[in-house]
Amino acid sequence: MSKISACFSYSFVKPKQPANLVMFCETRPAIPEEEGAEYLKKCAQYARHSRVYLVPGLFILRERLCSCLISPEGKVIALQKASYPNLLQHPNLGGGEKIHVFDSEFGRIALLVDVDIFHPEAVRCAAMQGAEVLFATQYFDLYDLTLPRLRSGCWAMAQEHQLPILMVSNQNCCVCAPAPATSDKDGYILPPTAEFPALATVYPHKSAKVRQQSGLLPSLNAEFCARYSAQLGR
Amino acid sequence: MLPFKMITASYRLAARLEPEKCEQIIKALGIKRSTILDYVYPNNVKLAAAQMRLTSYKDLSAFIEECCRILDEAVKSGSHLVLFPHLVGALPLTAEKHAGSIAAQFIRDAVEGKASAAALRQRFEQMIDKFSDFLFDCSYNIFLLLAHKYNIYIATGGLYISTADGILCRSYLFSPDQQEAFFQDKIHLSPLEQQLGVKAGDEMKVLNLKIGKTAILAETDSLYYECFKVAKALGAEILLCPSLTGEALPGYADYNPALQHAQHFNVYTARASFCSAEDLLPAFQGASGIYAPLALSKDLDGIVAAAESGRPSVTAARIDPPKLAENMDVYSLNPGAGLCETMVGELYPALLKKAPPAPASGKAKPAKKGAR
Repeated sequence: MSKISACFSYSFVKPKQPANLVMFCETRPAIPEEEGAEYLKKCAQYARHSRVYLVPGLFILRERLCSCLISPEGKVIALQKASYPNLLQHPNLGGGEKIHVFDSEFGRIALLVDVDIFHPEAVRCAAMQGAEVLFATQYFDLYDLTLPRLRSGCWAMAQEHQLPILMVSNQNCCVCAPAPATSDKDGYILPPTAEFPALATVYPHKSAKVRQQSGLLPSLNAEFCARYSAQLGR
Repeated sequence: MLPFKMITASYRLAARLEPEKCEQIIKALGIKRSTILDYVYPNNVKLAAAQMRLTSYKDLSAFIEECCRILDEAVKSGSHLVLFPHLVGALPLTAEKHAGSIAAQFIRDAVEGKASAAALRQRFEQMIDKFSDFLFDCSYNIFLLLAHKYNIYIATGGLYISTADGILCRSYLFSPDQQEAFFQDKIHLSPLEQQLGVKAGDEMKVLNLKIGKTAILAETDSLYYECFKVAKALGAEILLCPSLTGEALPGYADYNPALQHAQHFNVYTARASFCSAEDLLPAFQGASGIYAPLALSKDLDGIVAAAESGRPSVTAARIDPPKLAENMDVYSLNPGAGLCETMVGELYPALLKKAPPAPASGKAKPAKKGAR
């Protein structure tokens, strides 16, 4: 699939067409574990009915904060646990150990759960495994969402790692990509907006071309990383 | 065989950049020693970032006077340390017209891709062979003397030098207390530097200065979060990022890694770059400033002070390193050791072995790691 037609909408609202991917703006910090099964069943029905890929809201599964990608057939094809716990919202949940990269019709994708997007390590982990697109779902406290805060997450990671990132939170959404791959060269395919539904079209191959031309990741000094593995492993 | 122009340029350069000349010029300026470093209050540290115009200088005096103008302004503002842009030590090259034009032509050809990789490498090696020793002696002496005369820390971005280990890109920090400068070799090389045969450093140095623990991440080093993370883990509170232009990467006008990583790793950063008005190279904007984690900046945007992008200036600002320990940001400062251990255990070693990315394993499965 050469492009992603993403629709960001409130939960279970009919997607605006044309969309082949929907990301839910869920107003709660996470769906509690006891409601998780029912919630995901409803999400699967939605994906089947609307014939879209779906990234639902964050949910808790086995004491881990999770995100997933559901196919148009209603199957969970990607599941990711948060690597970095949000100590404010979920102080009792543990962290995961890896960002997994999944093959999909959109290419190689990875899911970033909540505050993972603010950690370059998480995005680097995905990039080093060949991820081509990232889907990030976050929860912000009302007073925490500022433009600098947003830029330090989704936008900065898209520039540093040269990956397109589709982000939705409880308050807004945006799509970021490496600046040369965006029409205004400002790093935004969809600038931050709080108006739902919002539509964006992403061409992952454009960012792939930027990555190839810059040679940034291949120029990472692996000997330096090996020498300081103790510091990098913290 | 070396071009005749380069040979003659090197002789003239040697004559113009004699270290004794630097000493005479600086002595004649009658610099007044600052007392700012005699006692440093830990909560009241002042940094200055010099945004310089990239231009040629008619002689060595003109370059030294420009440096002194910047240092006078920094000292007047009460700064303990001044950061100069990357490759500032190469500017005395322009004091010799032919040497300057050889260097400028090389840069244009490299940026515009007008010469083959082999030809560029040969020209680069010739320039290093003929110019770098004089340039190094000259700029090293200038900044060391100025640091002692002014009684201020001076950090300069890298300079290409020839050593027994090969050609390195080395940044310096000159201290008024030391007879030799601290140095940091560039760790992550750009693709062009790799083509030119520059050798990468592999050691991160954290310097214990009166103003706090400091490290230098020159140019492309600031593009890799690994450098910030290692420096922070080794105790650094202040990270100096000398840059060339306002664009961290070509085409990324707004991306400022020094600003972003100050937030990600809870450190203060400073960035100094050139700006150009088409004197030597096509016009470009600068990006210089002092940055902090969001919560430690006045407008909660991470910017303590920033220079106007198109103008040469000295941007000075106060920072408070002990306050970093009190900054608890629930978004960026969370423990995530599990992920990091996986990376150092699997992904970085795979990169070292240059393993290809995991092959597509079909839909609905996590991609396998390292499989061939």
